[in-house]
Amino acid sequence: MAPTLISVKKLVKTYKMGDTEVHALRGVSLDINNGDFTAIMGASGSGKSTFMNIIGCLDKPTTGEYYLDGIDALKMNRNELAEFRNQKIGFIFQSFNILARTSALENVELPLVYNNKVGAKERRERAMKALTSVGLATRVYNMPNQLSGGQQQRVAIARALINDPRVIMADEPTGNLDSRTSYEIMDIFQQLNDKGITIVMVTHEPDIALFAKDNIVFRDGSIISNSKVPERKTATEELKKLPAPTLDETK
Amino acid sequence: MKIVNLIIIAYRSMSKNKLRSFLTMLGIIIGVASVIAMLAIGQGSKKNIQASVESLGTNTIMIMPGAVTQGGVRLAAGSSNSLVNGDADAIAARCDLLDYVTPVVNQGVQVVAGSQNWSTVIIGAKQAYFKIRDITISMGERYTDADERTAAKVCVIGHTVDSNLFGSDANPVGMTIRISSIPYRIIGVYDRKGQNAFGMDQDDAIIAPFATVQDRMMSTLYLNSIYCSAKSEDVITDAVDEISKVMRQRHKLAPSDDDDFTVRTQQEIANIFGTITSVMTILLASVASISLLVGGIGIMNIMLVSVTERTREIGIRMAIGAKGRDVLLQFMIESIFISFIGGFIGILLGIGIALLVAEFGGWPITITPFSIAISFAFSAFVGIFFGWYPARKAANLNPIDALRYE
Repeated sequence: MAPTLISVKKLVKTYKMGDTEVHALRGVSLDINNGDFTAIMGASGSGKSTFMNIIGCLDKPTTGEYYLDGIDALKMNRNELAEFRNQKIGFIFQSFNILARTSALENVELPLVYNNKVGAKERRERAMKALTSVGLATRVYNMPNQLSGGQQQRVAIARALINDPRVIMADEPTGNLDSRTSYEIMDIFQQLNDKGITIVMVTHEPDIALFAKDNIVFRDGSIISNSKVPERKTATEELKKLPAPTLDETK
Repeated sequence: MKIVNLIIIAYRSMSKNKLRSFLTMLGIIIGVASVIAMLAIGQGSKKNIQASVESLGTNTIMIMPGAVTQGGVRLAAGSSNSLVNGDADAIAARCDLLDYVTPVVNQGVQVVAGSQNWSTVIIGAKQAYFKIRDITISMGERYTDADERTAAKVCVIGHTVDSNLFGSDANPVGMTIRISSIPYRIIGVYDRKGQNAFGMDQDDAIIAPFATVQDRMMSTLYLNSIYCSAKSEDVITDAVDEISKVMRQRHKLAPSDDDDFTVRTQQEIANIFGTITSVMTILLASVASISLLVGGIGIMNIMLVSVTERTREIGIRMAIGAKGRDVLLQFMIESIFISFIGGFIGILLGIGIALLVAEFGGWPITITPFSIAISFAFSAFVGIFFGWYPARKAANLNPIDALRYE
């Protein structure tokens, strides 16, 4: 396995807004290795989300190079990219983005539905396993509106995990959650990372970034700092420091 | 992605919007049902009219005197006196493709029976006439060859004549009627034939031996027409050619001359009515298919709303690996589903409506597998055609834009 999982070189993204050109990315180069847990920080408009969309193969840069797992992601067409996302990347979004009026189990099954190699029976088994691993074994048949925000985000994590992706890309995964639930999500992330799964996470909360191994800061479309986290926090311990959970707090 | 999964997805999204799916379907249901019902009614009346044309006798060929030009004025067909007894005899003798031939004379007459009188038409024809016109006797009997030879004063009357002269209950057989002061004995009443294709009452007539009417009553040498029946429907055209040849020869017509007679077949008349009813059926069906078209536009409308409404869902699906084709098929299957189920219900409903029309309206109906097949195919086509554009729109969405859509 190549040590470098994600490799971008001189990534430029320019949007045209009427007559003015907006430079979202001004030549970003970065390598992310297998097993990394990278937090991408920056104010809004700094280009971090654009960067995330490009490495998530949802968007294409104006110029530059991008290799994921040694494959040139910019030479693929729409369909190849769809398959590539399906096989290599697990997405987690700020607004959860799970399908409404669809049970947790079916939401988690979804990536496998678009994977012809997996049959219905195996799909169900793997979805059950993924939901169990995020602590939702008792909630598999619940609809999203019957789940709390934290639980919905766990469904999204289970969905991201089900296809055994090379990398999990999380865009503000804790943006809509309270601090206790945020720590629980970080706990899951750290456990996954310990198992060897690479995680790239966009966040604007400095305390959440401290759970990652590396912090990258964007400003005005460029990386201004790339550093190891000096005192990495452990979610398990942070959770212990919080006051005892209230009555209706369910796992 | 497997098609089974797509069908499940389409089914779920439809069942999430039950009322909307049903209303969309309703457009197709009404469209298909009206196409089926209209075709059934149209084809039914076509059959009905055909049957009434055929009641004249399917193999019948009529020969009438041709139109004549007198001093530059062209008179109607049948206005000339060009047919004589010899023509009928020659046709009977020389045409092999004919079963029966009879000369026919007819005249409007005033009939008197006791204190009643009635205006009707008397037809003088040989016995073969009953065979050719498929006339059967309900009371009494037909006249015989002997009656024909002796120009006997006997006749067979129709039901309309019977009820007008004798009332509907009496048995007129054996009674005497007077036509132009000459008494005729009624020897039979023929079965009801109803109206012919032109609305004429075929039961309002008296049939008497040819010689009786031509010699005794009309004192004429000419014929009004000659009726023949071909051996079968298939040889009608050939029989007509044969008759024309014999007639042209007898009338000594040069090759450059026009016919001075007209040969008509029931086939021709049936064809004319067939054309009229076909046009009517097509008209009805095209009016009905407009509603199918409107139903199709309904599908397109709802699918477009659905695509807009589910843009985010499409974005999610694409982010986690749905290809454009998967999204296209998902929406296509949904619209095909709607039009198929709608088409199926519409067929049942259309058959039901047609049966109701037949039951309570007394209107004849014919439901053919063809009309079912064509309306089902049309509804499927509508589903594919009108579902394609919205589905295409969904499939072409950029995942990142779809995800950001609020």
